[in-house]
Amino acid sequence: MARRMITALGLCLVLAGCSGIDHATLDGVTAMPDDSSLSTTGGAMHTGIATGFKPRVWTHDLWGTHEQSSGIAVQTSNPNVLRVAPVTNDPRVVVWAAGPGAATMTVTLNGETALDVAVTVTDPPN
Amino acid sequence: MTARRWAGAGGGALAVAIAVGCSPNSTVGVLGNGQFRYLCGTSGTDSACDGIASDTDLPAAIAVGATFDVGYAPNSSNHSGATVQGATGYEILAASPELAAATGTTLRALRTGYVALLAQRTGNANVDDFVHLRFEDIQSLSAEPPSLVLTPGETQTVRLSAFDALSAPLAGRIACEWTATSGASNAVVTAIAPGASATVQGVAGGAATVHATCGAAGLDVTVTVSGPPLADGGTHG
Repeated sequence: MARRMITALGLCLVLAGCSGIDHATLDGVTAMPDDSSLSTTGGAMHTGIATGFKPRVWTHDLWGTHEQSSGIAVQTSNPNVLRVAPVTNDPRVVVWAAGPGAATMTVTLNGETALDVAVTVTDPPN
Repeated sequence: MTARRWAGAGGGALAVAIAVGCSPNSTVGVLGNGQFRYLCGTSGTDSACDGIASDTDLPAAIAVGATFDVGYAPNSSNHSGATVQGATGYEILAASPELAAATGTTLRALRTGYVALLAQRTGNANVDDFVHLRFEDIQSLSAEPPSLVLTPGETQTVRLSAFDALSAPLAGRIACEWTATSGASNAVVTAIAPGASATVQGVAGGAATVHATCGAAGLDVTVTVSGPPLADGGTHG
């Protein structure tokens, strides 16, 4: 009886949206040689700068929060401004500032958005 | 032992060398997956390559307007005696065409700033590793030797080195223009492509000034020629 109630409660919570993406992070963002920066809250990079990091995504369900190990991808809204590429044989990705402008870097889990990061790229000072 | 295999360049990318065995002259990439090397085998004067026939560490800064070559070797190629992994080769892509341009197998620094060079397997969008280079404008020059004393018919080579605003040396094969600004009948100057070196030949007794312009920087080299003039005016050395 108790098991049935727990199962029913769990089903209700799932149907009510109690499972899904919990949060995402950019782990181990590599140092950039100037004052460029990139974090989960935004980025400001100079043209020509690159950085690497491991995107990490956690989901939650009735039993807690769980880090996902597959299905994670990183995309850019504007490859003329910001480019993204996976690292060979490595869970990290590299992003680089190709030209001035604005772009949104999106971390997805199985195609579902886990994190949007607004990135502004400006030319370096002369 | 070091062997190189060059891949065909394409899509604005620069084909790079792959090394077999561990090279002591290299710069580890930011991701730690491979090593970048500054290649010195190309003809042309480059202060970073003085006395170096093959390759060396990446320099601290490269002159804007200069050309240079960079090679990449993945860590997987470092086990001695083994076949190079990824024998189809690697390419180097500049992070922004605003800062660096690739022509064939050579990169050119286009403006001041840092630029990431990304190593990619040929035909593969994945990045293996990357490294940043700094480009700086040439602020001053030095000549070796700083002045010349020649006899008519004698020829000597002048080599220029470039420096940034802090007088730190700038690497790269810089392009310079050479002219005789005075005493042109006493000495003939001929640039050696791509221009950081020139030969000066004494023609007739007297003084001359040879001026070199590299980017926004310039330098005068004084030439003193002593002795009877050449019969052919220096055209046949």
